[in-house]
Amino acid sequence: MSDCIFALATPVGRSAVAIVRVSGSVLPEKLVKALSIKKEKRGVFIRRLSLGSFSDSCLVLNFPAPGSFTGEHLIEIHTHGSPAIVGELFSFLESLGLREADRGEFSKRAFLNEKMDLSSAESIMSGVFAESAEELAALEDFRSGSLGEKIRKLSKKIESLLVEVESQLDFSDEEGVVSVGASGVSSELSFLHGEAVSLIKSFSPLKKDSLKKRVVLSGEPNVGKSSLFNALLDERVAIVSQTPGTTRDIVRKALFLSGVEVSFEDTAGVRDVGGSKIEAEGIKMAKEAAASASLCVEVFDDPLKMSRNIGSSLVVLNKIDLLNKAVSADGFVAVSAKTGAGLQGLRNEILKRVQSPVKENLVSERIYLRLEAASSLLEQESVGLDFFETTAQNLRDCLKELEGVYGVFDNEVVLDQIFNNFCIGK
Amino acid sequence: MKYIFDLIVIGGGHAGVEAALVAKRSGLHVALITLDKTKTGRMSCNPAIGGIGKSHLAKEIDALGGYMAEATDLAGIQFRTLNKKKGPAVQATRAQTDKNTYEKAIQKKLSKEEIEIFDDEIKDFGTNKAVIEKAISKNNEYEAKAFVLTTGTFLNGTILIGHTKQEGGRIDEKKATGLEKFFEKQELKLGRLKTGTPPRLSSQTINYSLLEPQPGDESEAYMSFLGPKNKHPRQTSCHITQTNENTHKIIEENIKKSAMYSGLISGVGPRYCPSIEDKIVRFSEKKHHQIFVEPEGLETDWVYPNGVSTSLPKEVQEEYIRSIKGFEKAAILQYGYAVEYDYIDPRNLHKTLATKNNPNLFLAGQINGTTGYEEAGAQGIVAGINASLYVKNEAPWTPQRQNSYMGVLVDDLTRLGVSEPYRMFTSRAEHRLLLRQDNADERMYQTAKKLNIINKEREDIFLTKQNEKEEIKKKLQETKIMVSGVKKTTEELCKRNDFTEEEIKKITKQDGKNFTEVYFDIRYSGYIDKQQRELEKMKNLEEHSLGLVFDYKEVIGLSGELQERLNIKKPKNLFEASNIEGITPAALNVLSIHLKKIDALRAV
Ligand SMILES: Cc1cc2nc3c(=O)[nH]c(=O)nc-3n(C[C@H](O)[C@H](O)[C@H](O)COP(=O)(O)OP(=O)(O)OC[C@H]3O[C@@H](n4cnc5c(N)ncnc54)[C@H](O)[C@@H]3O)c2cc1C
Repeated sequence: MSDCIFALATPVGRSAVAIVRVSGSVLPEKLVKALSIKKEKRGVFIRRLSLGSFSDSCLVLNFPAPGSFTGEHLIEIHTHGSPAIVGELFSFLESLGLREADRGEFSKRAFLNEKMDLSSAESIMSGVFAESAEELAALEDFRSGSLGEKIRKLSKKIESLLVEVESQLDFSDEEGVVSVGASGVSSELSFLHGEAVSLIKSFSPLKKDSLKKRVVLSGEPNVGKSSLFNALLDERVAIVSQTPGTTRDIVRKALFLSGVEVSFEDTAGVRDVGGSKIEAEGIKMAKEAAASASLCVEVFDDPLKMSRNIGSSLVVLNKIDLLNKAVSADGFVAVSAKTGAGLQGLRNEILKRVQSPVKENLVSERIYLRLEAASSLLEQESVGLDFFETTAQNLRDCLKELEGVYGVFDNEVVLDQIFNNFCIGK
Repeated sequence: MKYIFDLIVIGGGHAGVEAALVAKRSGLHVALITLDKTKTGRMSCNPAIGGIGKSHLAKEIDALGGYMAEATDLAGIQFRTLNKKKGPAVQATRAQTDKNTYEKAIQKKLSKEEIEIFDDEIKDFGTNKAVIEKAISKNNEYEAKAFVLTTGTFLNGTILIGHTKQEGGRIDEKKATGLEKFFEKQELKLGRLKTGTPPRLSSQTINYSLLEPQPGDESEAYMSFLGPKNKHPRQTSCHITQTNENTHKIIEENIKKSAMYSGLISGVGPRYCPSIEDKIVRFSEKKHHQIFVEPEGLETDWVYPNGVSTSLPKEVQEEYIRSIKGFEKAAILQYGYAVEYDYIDPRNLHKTLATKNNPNLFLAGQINGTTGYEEAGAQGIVAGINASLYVKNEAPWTPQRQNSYMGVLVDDLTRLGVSEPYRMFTSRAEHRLLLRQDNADERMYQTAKKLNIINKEREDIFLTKQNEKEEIKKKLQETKIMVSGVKKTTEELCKRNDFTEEEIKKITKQDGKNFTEVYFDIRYSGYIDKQQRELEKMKNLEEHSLGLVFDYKEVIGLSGELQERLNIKKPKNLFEASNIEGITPAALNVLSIHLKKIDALRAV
């Protein structure tokens, strides 16, 4: 049996609609009630949900198992695409006991329930993992950096406190073990908690999202933006974002270039504007899109019309197969979406431009959350008969949370230190 | 002579006894073969059962219908609860026992259960391929369908006192030989471990007026869940004294004469049970070491000075003992000694304690590198259960880390092996808050019931207690009081720190003896839920073996770095993989999909 998970199926950020998917082998009764749907009834329902301070009317799509993408009970909730509303929806789902899916978890379930074949699943997974490759690099960097060092030191102190507490539990009848009072342990706990809090304050989480690079394709109609786009997405990768069974929610498309997710956006819609305004409008829109994007690619099909309209953009000449003489690609990239000529060079160039150095005081979001969890485990009241044994448990859990940085916690370490520090044995 | 049984247990120590008894409870025709049946169930060392981590094991054995705890109740001359102020998960019962009463109780039980005991020494096994068909001694052959071997400290045992070395598994007892050749043939690795014991003193010669008495505190405490059924004998006191600078000087001056320091001993001894020589060398800044003066029984004048185990020569033992307050005129009835013995690397065993080479040979106790009666008894019952299941052609049973200390013990041994004699500590159990001594009955009940190894009396006592606990819980849920203007159930109050157990007891007008247990069940429910969730997750991961993944380079979607790391670490299953640095949930997903692919290919 699998638990109930949810994830945003549309891109993060402001958009017309946001779609949140929920999947589980059993849906929590509370959720079914809150959405007032019939569990076994497939269909679309309009529901008004009160989400924190908002009340939003949503579209709820119910796909009972097994006739769904994951093969489990699946619900889609379509809301307005405001991050605030999506955030409230997440909290709402969490309050019902659901958890946010790990990356690739929906696909994994789909695969395990035989809703997706292996090759599709594998390519999705490779993409999903590639996404975390840079995160991993960030983490490596962080490990060797000064913050990593600080956390390692904190972990060592937590470990020492654990050794002290453990010595009071397994060896309380040993004369060689100095007995420590609850107040001593609790003041050490609050000291460590203080250290953890000030550490956490000194850096911020690297949002997974900031690793995603947005690349905007701009250019006049018919220069071949969309065929270029499709050519850049080879078939295998196309599946990455085009989660089978649902094409309607794919607005942007994503491509993985050596572990960096690059999503392409077409600046469509300029055709409606008549006359000479076309060019000006197109450039204006491209500029707007480029402002928030990592890179703007300006596509042309005529060497004579080529110019850089946006300061940092990459200029691409498409359809070189139609030219009767070779062009010397100086300051631009020449490709043919049709024959594939120059595509690999373009991929490399895009990658080179979007890859960013990892900033020092950033830490992967996962580790950040773990640090927060570790810190809260150090916040303990020193009352009750069970203070020592629950504190030992919390300190162990705390070291577990820090495992990614501190190395795997090993029980023997505690015993070794106790035997080294104290004269044990009657 | 030739004998035929269903199951044969070799060795009448604490492991062997529990193995034989549980096989009998499983309805088999059992024999116990041991070097000297008058010494069956003998406590080789300390006359005490229980203690932190150890009473946990003793109570689990009890909950499976074993006899160790009952014998302890019949022989216990002083009961104490340790860690009274540290919380229920680490609280432990420790009983000082009358050694003679203890072994007599065990022997009586064996004869009541009509277990046939032979005085004999097994020297070899007769095999048919991997299956063992008979145990062979000089004059006899014992055929059976399964065998449990528990040789304790006897396999090639050597006793050392100062520079003298003599053969034997315990003082004045012979050693066992021959089986090491069998193990060599099976290519089972033998290792050497060491342990020691203090000199025994005559109580008549101790000046008790100089010693500080240490009375028991819990004559109402029972090791067994059967409680007062097994009446305690008269309770008595222990005493405390300590070594002094003079003692230390004598030992330092003679340190070269100790077998431990003269190079005579190659085996590794336990760090938590050091000899007095060790303590003085390693902690030279300490001016005193405490000694617990423990009577070995009510009717005997043998005294066990706990804390001064040694392998110094006899005359030095006399000198240092007499330098201790209260021992000025002490007569030594038996000298302290170290014993070295062969053990088998327990990584050669399955978690059922069956050897990997021979499916019907089970090993338990000190032979597996452990020390302690409780550790031995626990393995004895695990091996006995599985040997019986084997005979009956039924599926094996393995205790789990998450539900018992037995599980922790068996898992640690078979997975990690030992580097010193292994004893139990509560810190070895990551699910410590779940594994309390008071709920051992609850934790083992399902197993006991399924295997049909507990009698009706035991079951009734258990079910009555469960009913009482239910009643208490109901009362806690029904009783509501106003707390700062809000109505709360007393059940909720159990989790809060601003109400004590006593206060809640008063509010709900309860005095049932199981209240504390219910209180902590509720209080720890948060931890228990969290651990349960982790366990679920882990169980899922553990179930996925990576045994068929030979080269991680083939796993599409993993970074090259992780592929290399995995190739080096070779995790057994997804759980072990998840503990490797850099493995993210996404990487685990990649691995699990790869496993599915292997499955799919194998199905074709
Ligand atoms: C000197 C000494 C000091 C110790 N100190 C401590 C201590 O400080 N703390 C602690 O916790 N534990 C200590 N122990 C360990 C504790 O006594 C053992 O761990 C426990 O008794 C082991 O139980 P067992 O059943 O494995 O073996 P044992 O109790 O040793 O029993 C082995 C049995 O097997 C029989 N046997 C052996 N070989 C054969 C054969 N070939 N054929 C037939 N029968 C055979 C023997 O007769 C014996 O009855 C000490 C033991 C000794 C000897």
